[in-house]
Amino acid sequence: MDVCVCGAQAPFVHGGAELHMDNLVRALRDAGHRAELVRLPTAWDKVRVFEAALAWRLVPIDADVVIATNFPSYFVRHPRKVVWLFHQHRIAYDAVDAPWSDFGLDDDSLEAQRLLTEWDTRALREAEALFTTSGVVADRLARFNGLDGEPLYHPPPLFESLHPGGTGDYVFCPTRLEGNKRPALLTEAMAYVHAPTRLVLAGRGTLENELRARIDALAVADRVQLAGFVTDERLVDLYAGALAVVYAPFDEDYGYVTLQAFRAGKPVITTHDAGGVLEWVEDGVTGFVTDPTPEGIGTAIERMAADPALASRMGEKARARVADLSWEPVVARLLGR
Amino acid sequence: MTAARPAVELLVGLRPVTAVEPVLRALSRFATLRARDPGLPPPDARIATSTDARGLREALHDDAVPVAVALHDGEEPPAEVAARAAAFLVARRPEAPGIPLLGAPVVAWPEPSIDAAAHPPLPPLVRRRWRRLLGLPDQFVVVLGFDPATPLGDRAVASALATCEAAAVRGRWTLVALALGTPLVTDASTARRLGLRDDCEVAVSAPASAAAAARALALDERRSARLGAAARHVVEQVHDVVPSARAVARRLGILAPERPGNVLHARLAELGTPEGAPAAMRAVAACEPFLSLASVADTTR
Amino acid sequence: MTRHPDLDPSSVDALRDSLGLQPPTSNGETPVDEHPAAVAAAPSRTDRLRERVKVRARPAADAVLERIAARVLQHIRGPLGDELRADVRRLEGEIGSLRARVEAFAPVIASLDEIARATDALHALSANQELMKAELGSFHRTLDDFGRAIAPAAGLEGVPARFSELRERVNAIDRELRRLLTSEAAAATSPGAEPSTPAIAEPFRASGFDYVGFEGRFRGDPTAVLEELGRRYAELLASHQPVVDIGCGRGELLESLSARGIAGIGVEPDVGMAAEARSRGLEVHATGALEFLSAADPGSFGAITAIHVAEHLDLETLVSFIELAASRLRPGGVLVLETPNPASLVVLGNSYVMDPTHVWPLHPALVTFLCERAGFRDVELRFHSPAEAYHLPLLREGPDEPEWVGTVNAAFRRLNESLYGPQEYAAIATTPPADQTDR
Repeated sequence: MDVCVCGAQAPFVHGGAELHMDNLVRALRDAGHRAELVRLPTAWDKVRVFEAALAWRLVPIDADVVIATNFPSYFVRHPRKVVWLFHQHRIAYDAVDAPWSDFGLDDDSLEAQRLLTEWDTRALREAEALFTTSGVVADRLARFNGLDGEPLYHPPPLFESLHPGGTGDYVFCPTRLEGNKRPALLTEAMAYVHAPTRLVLAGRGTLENELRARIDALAVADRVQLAGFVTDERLVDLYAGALAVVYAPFDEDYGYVTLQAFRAGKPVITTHDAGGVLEWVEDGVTGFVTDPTPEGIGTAIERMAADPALASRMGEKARARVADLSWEPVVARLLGR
Repeated sequence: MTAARPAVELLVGLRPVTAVEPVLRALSRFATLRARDPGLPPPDARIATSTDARGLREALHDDAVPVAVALHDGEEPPAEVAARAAAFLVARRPEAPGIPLLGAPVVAWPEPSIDAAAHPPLPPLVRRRWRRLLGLPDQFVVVLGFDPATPLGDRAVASALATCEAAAVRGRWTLVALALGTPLVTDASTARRLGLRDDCEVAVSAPASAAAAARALALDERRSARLGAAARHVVEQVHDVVPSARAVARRLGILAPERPGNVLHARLAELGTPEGAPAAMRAVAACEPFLSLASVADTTR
Repeated sequence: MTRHPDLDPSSVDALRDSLGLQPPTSNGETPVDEHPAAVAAAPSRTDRLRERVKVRARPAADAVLERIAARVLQHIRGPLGDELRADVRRLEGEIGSLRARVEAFAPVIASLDEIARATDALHALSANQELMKAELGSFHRTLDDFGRAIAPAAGLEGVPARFSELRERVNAIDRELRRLLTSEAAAATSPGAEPSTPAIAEPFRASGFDYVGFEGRFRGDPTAVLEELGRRYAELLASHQPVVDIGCGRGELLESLSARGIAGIGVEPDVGMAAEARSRGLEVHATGALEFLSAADPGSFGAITAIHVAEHLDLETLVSFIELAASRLRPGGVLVLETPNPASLVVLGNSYVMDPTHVWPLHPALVTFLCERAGFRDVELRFHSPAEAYHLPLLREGPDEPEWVGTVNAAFRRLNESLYGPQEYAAIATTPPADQTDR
């Protein structure tokens, strides 16, 4: 079968969504299909999002099936359109009051928000099957658009390579250094950790300089290590050697970090506003769920450091939790088999 | 702008024209309707508002101009009409037995009907933000036609339905509420009359508990979003009169010829974009110079 | 500005009123627009136009900015001072005039918007008008068919003549039938007896009621009544002499007619009034109407008038009177029946019920019917003396006045018509011309 995977492109940005699309294409090819990734650039301001959506509307795609992924790629028009929804344009929905939202409380913004919701509802309703990457995304779809989507969980990148290792002297967090991932919160948490445990942050982003200043101000430079970009091999090693993984994004859609950590047999410390992460982390069983405060997270790290055996036990449960994740059933569901 | 509008001549009989009026009114979006007038050039099509319409016989034998004939209340057309009409117009009522099988294609229009485009839908989050912007109470449920009814003047009803969390409505505002995507409670007979299913497009309630049911619906975020979206959808699919008018126009061969730009307009329309929305204006402005060079025929609609 | 059509400001204000809310102060609605009227009606069009103007204006604005920038740079490099200040002033002036020109567009946009709206309304109106034209046309053709069915040669225009002809024939047959049946019945019950004239009612002499006094008090000043009646009927009666005035009372009408050279005879059963009339030198018979007419020869009068008489007769007497009148008039003669107009409610509620000798209010349609049945050809109704003093005043109408003025006036006219309409009317019934009498 000829399958086109459709995804939006934010030029020069590579994150979870991009990996997800690449892996989906690979999984489709592994299942014996011809698969291709089709991407169109998008913009995120409330004026041009409509143009980005409309562009998809006009793209002719000859394939047996198209699988659309993130906003606004699901505006693609095809008689057999399957949507596996990564996320919608969250600024028009749950994040409308967030500081980075450009939807104000005025006539024009409300009409734009109304129209975008209406466009979304129609474009998504066209799909012959509507899946989401997680329960969080399905829940938003239900609350904001009144549509039912079925969560379809998939293995994260490096799933095959990740493995458990020893119980190191650091907690690990691979993440882009961006606002919604809250790296500063983790840094500040270290001020509440008295055990000789370090925080290793791997990844780059726009907040890097700000973060360095914050580390200096808190005088935690010896405790917080900014590892920058790391290779996949190094990433696997960092997971394997960690005591636990700390991951506290704000209302994450899915969160590969959680699944990768579990695969590597590590418990995850997270916050109760972290969204999709909470579909996996069960407080006291496969990690800790705390308040989204430096103190809350610091205390949780302290507990892990104080009881490495507990961390190991929770890590084993976590690894078992993701043991069944695999691409084959995902491909089969997407293609209706 | 009006030069290209096709002309449709009306042939009127003794039956009241009011029965066909909604579809004719909607048809005037696509064509200019006019009475028989020998002084004018022949029309592009004719519509007989009943089978006893004057001049219908002659019109049926005029092979150059197609005729659509309206049938009333399960009426069967005379053989000659059945053999020569280009289309039949039939009101579709939920309680009617069905649409008759006739020689020519049948275009059914909904009864009762609404112009859905005149009431764009508002999803729950946008409703909440409008309430905030307009200084309305955040918890706001509208009750119309049930006790105790919300005391609203006629002018206020549409705004109230557009901004409320949920509503209990029966009577003349029901279709407006549905078109606005209002999470709606109604009674069993209204639901039956409009072809709505309990817990699919509306919540059906006994009249005495309708107001309470609307308040309960407002508290259930997922259910109210689902019912609201489905309500809008069913209005567009079942109660909107404009598609019927377009179908009549197509049967009569008077839909404006495909012009460049129609693809873009069609894509905007299928997403429910109001005419003149900034998004549509920008798209047209960006494409206009190229659209006028292209001769793209929209083959999919 | 894009507003949801169901959230236009006036509708939202109505909603706030209904909910008893104040307009929001802080965090509230954004100020509406520079052109509230245009926005309230059709925001999308204004918006579109404004957007277009913006798109068109942008390259021009960019060019101006570039020029300004170039000049500023020049001056910064060169000597600063007065020259620069002068330039800035000039540029300010230029910007000011540009702004004025842009602002001058605002009313143009608003009026374009109005035109667009009017065009929309016109479309809707014209669709409606075409529907009505089609319906009217259809009715007209139906009527034509109807006309041809009744009067095959003449069509619709020949229908009235043909129809009255038919009606007369039916009535003639009817009368003949009744005559035959009455004489048969009379022959059966009392063989040899003459067919009797119907019993003559004496309605004018209600026991113990001083009609002369009453009439003098309430019917008005005799001179005025006389003047009015003379004016009303002189022209008609001049060509239909002699005139018999039934219930002539004090003889006002006869007197006025004779002053105009019209010969007349009075009939007045009230001896008092008859005497008063005779005292003015008029020929007045103090007898009942039926007695007088029965005794006269068929076809002997040009006109019979009965002014405010019919409402004093019971139905049987009235029918006999009208039939008798028809037979005593010459071909082409006229019967004038004037009576209070009960269709005017002020008459029915006041002057009509004030007179206890009134038997039953006579609706114009009933009188017309009775005349037709009696064998008259044409029955014309003339309405007199509308109670204008009572009329509800109308509002000023005109192209500059609001539309509802017309609606209110139409309603007031209808009210005036039914409450304070004409106080009396006359049925003027004409007997068929000589060549068509079926007698």
